Amino acid sequence: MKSTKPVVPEPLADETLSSWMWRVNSQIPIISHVRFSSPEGEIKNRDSMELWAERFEDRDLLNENVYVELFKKTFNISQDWLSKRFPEFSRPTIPAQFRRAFCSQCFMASFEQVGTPISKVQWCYLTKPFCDLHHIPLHDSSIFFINHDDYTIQAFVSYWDDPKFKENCDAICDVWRMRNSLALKAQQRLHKLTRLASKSGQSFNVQMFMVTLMRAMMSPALHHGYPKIAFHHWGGSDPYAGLGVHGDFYQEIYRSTSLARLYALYFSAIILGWITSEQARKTLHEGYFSPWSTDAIWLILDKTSGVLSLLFSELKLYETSYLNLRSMEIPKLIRIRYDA
Amino acid sequence: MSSLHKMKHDLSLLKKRQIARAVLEGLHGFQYLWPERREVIEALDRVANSDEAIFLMLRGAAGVGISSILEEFASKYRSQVIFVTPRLYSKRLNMIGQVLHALFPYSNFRSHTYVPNSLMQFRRAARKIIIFDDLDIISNQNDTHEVLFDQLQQLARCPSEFKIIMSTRNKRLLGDYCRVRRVKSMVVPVSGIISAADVKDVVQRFYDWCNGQFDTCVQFPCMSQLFKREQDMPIDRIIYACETIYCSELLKASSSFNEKMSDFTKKPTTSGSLYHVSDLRHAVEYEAFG
Repeated sequence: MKSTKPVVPEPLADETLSSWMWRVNSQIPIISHVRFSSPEGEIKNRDSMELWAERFEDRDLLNENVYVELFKKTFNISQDWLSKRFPEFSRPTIPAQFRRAFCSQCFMASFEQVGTPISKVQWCYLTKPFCDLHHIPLHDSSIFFINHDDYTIQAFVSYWDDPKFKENCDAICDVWRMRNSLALKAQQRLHKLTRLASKSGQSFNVQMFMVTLMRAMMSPALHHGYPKIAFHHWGGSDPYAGLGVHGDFYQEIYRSTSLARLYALYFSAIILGWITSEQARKTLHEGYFSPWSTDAIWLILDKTSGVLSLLFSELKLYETSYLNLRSMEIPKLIRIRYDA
Repeated sequence: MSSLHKMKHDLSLLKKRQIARAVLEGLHGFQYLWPERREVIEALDRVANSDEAIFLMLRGAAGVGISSILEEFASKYRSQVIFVTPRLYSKRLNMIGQVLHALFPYSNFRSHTYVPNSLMQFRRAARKIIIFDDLDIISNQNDTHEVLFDQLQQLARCPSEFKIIMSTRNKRLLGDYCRVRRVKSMVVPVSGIISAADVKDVVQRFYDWCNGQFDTCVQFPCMSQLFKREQDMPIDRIIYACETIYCSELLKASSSFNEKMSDFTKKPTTSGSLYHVSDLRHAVEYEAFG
């Protein structure tokens, strides 16, 4: 007699744990979908979506997802099998309560492949505002990951059905084509550096060096250089709040939109010299108020009290041979004043 | 020899019960391609392979095998099909909502009175056929009689252009269906009747199939009166009886069970036999699942 033991479907490349579990449970239901969706079921420490709130449990992590044990038992899968397919995040991530980025083309491709759109790990990373596969800017869903166990399906459906949503996403890809292309190159360069640095165990510092630069680039003094739409659907229950120098610097990046992170990466690449002033100047027709030279960005930051001292003190913590202050083009006076 | 069956292997009672449970639950996988079924499948294939949006209605009484035909078709064209079956929802859903639910059964969506873009994307992603099995139950449960064919026409017309295959036994629904004008539509009747001459062939094939599938050597008992009377029979009744008798031969367990078997052999009429098949089924199920 043929065996009737359920065979667990393999996760797709880069699929997140929660996306895979939802997909498996839809095909071979082992958890009532009502229970699966209940707040008390999956999220132990539910909290209001505030910037200062306690950390949410992350159901994309093996050690925080309470249903992993049940899956292991039902499908007779080992911890090794899971750990191999769902390793820990390798880069700084967007916290679970603010996670909502997606690539529409990846959604469609996975729908065609397995009948369900899936979520990808790379969409959780702060320093990856572009899809690695399709090279398009990630979009921010009006649906939050934390609120829906079937996040990918809801995000996919709302992408198509929310009025004007898809049009806005298309506009982001079309209107800022040159900047997108330069920022994508910066993302790819950072990716290569991170891989190189991982051999000497320094990938975390390389990533944090870039995150720190992006934090500074997101300070309100530079907001005029961002497209207005980058501040729409800012994560959490409030719009960009202006929490003061420290709050803005450390916290806002976590709930920022993918487009805001894309611009922060773009400006960071300018002050790192990865994008030359000449290249940046040529993109001015995509946004006349954006600073395009290293000096201009340093000057703007210098006028904002507190930002540069925070920036330099943080950057010094994450210096490596791959990314450091010495190799950056910093105006002499600023370098002397902040001992950079 | 009272029983003509002999197991290939000396199967344990546990194993026999396991096999019986699979057979009684219809998991044996036996399909009989009688001529009418073949014609219906060919008509469905033509719909699947054509480029134009179309309505195709399978009409027939309960148990004539429409659901199994549709399931076979859906499994053959898995990547193209959205299969809508009757389901109870916490709120009433229109036909469009039910199609979305068929795609993602565990998700909730807002109600749409028009075909949403997301659904059109699924159409573009090659999901071009929607099957509504038991349209009358689907529409009854959700109280969508009034707008049923309006919504189905929306799904079939530009820009969504789904091909829609449905089934019903409801005459009023069929009457409404015949008044559909804006979409090319056709009706395929399914009687599901196996001619008397073919009944024995179906039985023999069922046994051969199950013996092969489960590695048994069960033979059909000659005392069965059910198939001795030469008359046409619906396919579902034949299969129901075959499943029951195969399992009873396989298990041959308690004395009360054997008494029922002997009762069953004495009854001469088909209706009487059918009554006792049902009686026997209960006994077999008790043995297998109890």
